[in-house]
Amino acid sequence: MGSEVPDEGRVPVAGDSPHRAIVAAVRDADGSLHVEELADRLVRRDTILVETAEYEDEFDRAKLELHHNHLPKLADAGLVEYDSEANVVTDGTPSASAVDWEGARDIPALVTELRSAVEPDADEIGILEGREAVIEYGRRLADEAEEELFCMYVDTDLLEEECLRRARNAIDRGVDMCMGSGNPAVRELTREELPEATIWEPQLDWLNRPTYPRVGRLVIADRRQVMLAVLEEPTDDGAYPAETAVVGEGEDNPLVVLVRELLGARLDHLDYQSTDFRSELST
Amino acid sequence: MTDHADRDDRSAPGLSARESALTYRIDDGEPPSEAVVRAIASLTNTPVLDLEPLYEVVDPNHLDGVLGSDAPGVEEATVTIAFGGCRVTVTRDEVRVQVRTPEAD
Repeated sequence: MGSEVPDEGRVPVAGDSPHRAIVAAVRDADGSLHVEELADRLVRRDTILVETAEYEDEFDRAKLELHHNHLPKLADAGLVEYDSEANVVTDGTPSASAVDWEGARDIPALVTELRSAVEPDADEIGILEGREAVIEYGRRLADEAEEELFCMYVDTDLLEEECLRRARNAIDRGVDMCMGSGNPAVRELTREELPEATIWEPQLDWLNRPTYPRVGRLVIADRRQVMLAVLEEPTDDGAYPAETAVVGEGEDNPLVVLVRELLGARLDHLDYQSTDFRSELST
Repeated sequence: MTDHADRDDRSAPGLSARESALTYRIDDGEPPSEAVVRAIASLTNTPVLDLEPLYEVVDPNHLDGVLGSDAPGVEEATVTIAFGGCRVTVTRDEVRVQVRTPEAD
């Protein structure tokens, strides 16, 4: 990072770990923090300290860098406020860049790592809140699929009549439809409603987690658009459980790359697997 | 951090009792920006947190970017700034600090 030169008025935050860690530590402290306290937290977080002398060196250096470089820089960007005379740092007022950063915060660390490996214009990742928004986006993907629609649903509750109709339309357009579920009811419903669809049973742990929050639905259109929705634990009042989805578009989008990686060969060897699976069903 | 700072005798007029200049050798791996702060802190006997942030004068990353470069053309580079009431001259190897006084300016 030594030679990193920020653009005018912009501070690299999401990809720049010291800045990101600093802003996170200040936010976690809710309120204000003395530079020495902040330096102590950052050093303890980053290093497994064996010797006191090593800690003192790191602490001393962190303090210097915070006061003379990082904090005034982050203050310029509006991400923190820094009183350089009292050496007190407080959470900044939200700015456009801070809001962007907040969005990035919820994405799994793996996605952040992938960010650096892809084209900058292909790394937009969106967050959808609530069942309605998730359903709407899922329908859009079904409508936009040209060759392949790959789905995974954990429950028939999530497969509304309208979703099935859109899937039907896609199949009629010549789109290859795959439906996966660990839930026999979903597979049964798909067999009845969408007989042309390839049905698969996920073997992957991350798709079969019995505890909440868990992956509720996954929709991949043409291997270049992804929606991964996570369900919170259902409440007793019969309302739909809270649902949040991460969405990404584009072949090099980090979320799309991540999901393709996680599914791995499954996407390509599905036909082979489903033949097995089907013959098992027919016996 | 005064162990490798050599105070010299070129005291400015009017500052007889105290050293007014110092040469600080930059350690291997020590960013030049950090050396500047430590040199000033040492000469003025001021804790690093009580100095004005170096960022207000020059972006430390820019300073480190220029002087930390391995490019042969940078060997002779010298950067001079006014910081912490001192005139500070930085090269790849050392920081020379001189307290600024009306006479000296």
